[in-house]
Amino acid sequence: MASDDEVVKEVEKRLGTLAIREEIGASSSGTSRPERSREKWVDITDEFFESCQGLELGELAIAPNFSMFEAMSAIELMDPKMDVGLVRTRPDLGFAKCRREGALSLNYLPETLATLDATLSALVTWLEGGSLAQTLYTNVLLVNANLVNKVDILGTFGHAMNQLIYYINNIITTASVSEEEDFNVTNPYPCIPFQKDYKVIRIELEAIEASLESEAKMTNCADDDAAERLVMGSIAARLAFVRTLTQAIINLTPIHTIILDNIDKANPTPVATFRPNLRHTTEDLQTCLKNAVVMADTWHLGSRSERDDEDFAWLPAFEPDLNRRKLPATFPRKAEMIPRKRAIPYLVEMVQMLLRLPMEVPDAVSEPGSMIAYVREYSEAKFSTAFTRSVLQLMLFPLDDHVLGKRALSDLCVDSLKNALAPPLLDTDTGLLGDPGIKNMWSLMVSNMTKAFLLISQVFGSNLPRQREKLVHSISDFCILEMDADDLDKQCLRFCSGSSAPLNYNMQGGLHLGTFFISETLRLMRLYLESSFQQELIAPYEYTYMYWFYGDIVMKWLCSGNDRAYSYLANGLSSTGSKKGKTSVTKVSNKDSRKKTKLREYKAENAFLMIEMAICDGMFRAALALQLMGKIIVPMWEANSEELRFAHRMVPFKQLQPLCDLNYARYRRDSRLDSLVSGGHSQLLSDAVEAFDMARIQLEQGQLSDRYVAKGNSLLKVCKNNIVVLRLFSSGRMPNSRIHFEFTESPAYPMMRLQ
Amino acid sequence: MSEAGRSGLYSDTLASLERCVALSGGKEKAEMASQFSSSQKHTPLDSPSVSNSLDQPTGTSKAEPSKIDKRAQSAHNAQDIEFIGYKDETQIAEIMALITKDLSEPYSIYTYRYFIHGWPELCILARDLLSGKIVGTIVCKLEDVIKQASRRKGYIAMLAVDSDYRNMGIGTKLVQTAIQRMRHIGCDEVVLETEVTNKDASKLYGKLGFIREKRLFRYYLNGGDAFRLKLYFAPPLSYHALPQQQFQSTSPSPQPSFV
Repeated sequence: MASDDEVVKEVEKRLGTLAIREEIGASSSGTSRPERSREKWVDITDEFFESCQGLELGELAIAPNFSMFEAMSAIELMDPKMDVGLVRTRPDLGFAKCRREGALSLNYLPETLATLDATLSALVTWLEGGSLAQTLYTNVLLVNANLVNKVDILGTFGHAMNQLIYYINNIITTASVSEEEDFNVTNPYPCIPFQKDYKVIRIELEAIEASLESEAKMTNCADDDAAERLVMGSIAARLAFVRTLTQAIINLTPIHTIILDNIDKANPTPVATFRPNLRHTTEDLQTCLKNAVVMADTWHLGSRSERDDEDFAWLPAFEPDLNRRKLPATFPRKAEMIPRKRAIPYLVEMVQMLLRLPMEVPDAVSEPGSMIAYVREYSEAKFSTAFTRSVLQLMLFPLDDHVLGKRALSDLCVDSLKNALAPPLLDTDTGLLGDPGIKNMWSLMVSNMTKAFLLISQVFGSNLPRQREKLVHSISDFCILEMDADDLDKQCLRFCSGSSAPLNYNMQGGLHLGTFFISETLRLMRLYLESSFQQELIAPYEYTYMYWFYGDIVMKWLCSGNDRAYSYLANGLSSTGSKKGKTSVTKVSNKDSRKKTKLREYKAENAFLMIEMAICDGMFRAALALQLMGKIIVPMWEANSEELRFAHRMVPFKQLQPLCDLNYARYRRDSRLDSLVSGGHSQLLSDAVEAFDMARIQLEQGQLSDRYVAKGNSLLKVCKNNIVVLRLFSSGRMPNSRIHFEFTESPAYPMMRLQ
Repeated sequence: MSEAGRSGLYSDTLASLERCVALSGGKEKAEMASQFSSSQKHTPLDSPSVSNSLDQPTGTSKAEPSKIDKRAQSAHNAQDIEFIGYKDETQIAEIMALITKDLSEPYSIYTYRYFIHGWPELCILARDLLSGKIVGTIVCKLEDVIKQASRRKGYIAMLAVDSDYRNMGIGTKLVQTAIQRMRHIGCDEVVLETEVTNKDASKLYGKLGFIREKRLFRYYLNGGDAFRLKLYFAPPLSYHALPQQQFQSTSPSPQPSFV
């Protein structure tokens, strides 16, 4: 068999590509022939086309290392649909030309204003996944900021933007809470930001802002100048926006330490303390927001193109083709820039998102569970981006695992266990931690728990599909923690069973450490399943077993775990009086207060779980009825096709196997499937209506806690709608109607619609 | 080999080479090459278009009203369509034209050749018996997933049906035929990606029992999301199933079907 080299040579010999490749090279470089080459060139065009006729049909040279990736990445050179390099780049592109033509002057302020807004629009496009080469760095001023010697609006703004870009890029890269499809970190000009110190830029910006504002406020100008003064004020707002946003980043994240470490990776900065400066950040962001609102109100004062904003090529400072040679070989694609009318209001929302951080985070990080809930809620907000989410991550964990740079996450984890279970292990009276074996197991478990919570905190920055993927790892982590905790419980029990044991461990709590982790695992499984429905991954013919699993396994177990934890904590609350002699009254009072809060949380969660379980039951029965009626077709290649689908859907939970045998036989048995099928679709429809109605009554009459009100209102709509649709089916008045499912009100439960 | 067959094979290559030669300054050579290729240029294919390609977003899948009349001279129903295996390179141009029609960004010739030459038995064509033209195609591949466990995966790379021939079950038949072939050669699962907004493809594969394993965010160059679809013929390795005879379907019909 021929070697790779031989194959390649043979291919080139047959196709004459060596010569052609050289010709293309010569053509694209603008020279007729490479002078440095000593080869004697021979024209083989005639021979080539003649030789083509000698090839056998289908004759193909295949290199073994030419895989699907290479095949699909390959482009056909000189094909206008594939080769981005086919179109020549204009030689007179860039800053030099703009300066030569005086295009970057500040004579016409509306154009200056439009240039600033276009650059901010490019910033938004970049934050939304665009590449720097096709967004911000199509502005020649940014790429050549070092050539602007004057301290003027455009020059200083260029330096400030470069600095901001560099900070944002470093923050997002360091936080690692997003994926390549969320944010493009590629930087074609990595050395740009070091042209001016950030303090100098800040001073220059402040000076220009002050000058513009004083001119804008001058009252002795003629009325004709009023419009110009308004534009001046608007420009000052843009400069202030960039300045305060940058300052807020510096106050909220350890960006300067990160940059120093990135520059000199071999000598990282000694672990210093960094704590977000919440007060200054709030002030900076409030000013920033005020300026952003001004920007949103005044972007229309800038120059306008006859068409839409498009790629801003109509502004002298923007050259969309500036970096085409820096892009990888790929299909020709026109980069789309988000227009100003959408981009500038987006910045207002972005600053509002950032402003939430110093105001909300300190209250949300009392324990890992609430911290994760906050991170998730923040990530799901409409205007959450890779940038805002990364700032949150670096604020939470600025340099290491110390939350807000203060308390170690491991301490919060231990507190969390104390609040949820008050495990006897942590009661010094038991002396359990005096045993070296138990102490080691405990330390290892806390360490793994800390890592598991750190990982979850990162999960919620990515896009939803990636989050779902990563949740599988977290579910696995918590399953393993549950097993570790179980071993620790057993070890404690053995210790307590010994003659020297001061108490019976098993009787003390009746609730084991493992319970805490199994509940966390179930909460993650809930998120995973909800995300699966939300992303439209579950087909209607899967609703039967998926809703059964969601309601009858995941939620029921979670409910049961909460019930046990509730009883245990409630008992502990009433018995704390006996220990008051040993601890101060304030400490006991705080402890009781935390326990009462936890009890309320358990109660609220369980109340909502009961509602959702009823809806799941309704969905399961309705889907089964619709299958029996032939309204949902179950595709079957073999008799076990459904079992195979079930088995593969359970793969993410395989770590639970030791606790629960998640197989199809169990599903059939526990759901009483055969009996329900033999009862017929009418009974199932009636049962489904009853289940939805039960949920409806609880939603209408129950007292939902604030956290669940919005979700409850959505579920109420789903229940009411589905009751009507199922009653119509049940009445037999719609025999020919088809049904489809819309997840418009709730991510996990569809509205049934008739067609 | 006939002139017509040869032209189908070389026309695209020659067109590219002409552009190369022209750009390198050889005007005369380009003219010569042009003469050569024009003498062999095949007749443009008769308006085939793509119903869904599984690796790239496509345009609309609805047949244009103006094209409906063409069916008067072509097949009216599924009986007039025959399903044939890939024969040789003379068919490649027609396959490419069928698939490329509505793609926002074309596949290179290397992509087609990688799949079709690698797994010719998994390239199936639908041909209109009346007009003789290829009106549908499916292109697939095989790969060993876990060699130790003898796990094999089939991958559907492309599926296309001429817009004039939609809603005749041609796509479903092509997929079913390909799946049967893949099962015959030991596939445990069949995988593909399809654009989230391609409802026709989702419907077709959903009816055949494919499940949406995951969503792929901004998967395509145009920024669109994809679904990764999977059809399983074996349980996961970790799954402890009961003996085969105990399996039963929840499907109410004794002989479950796909439609």
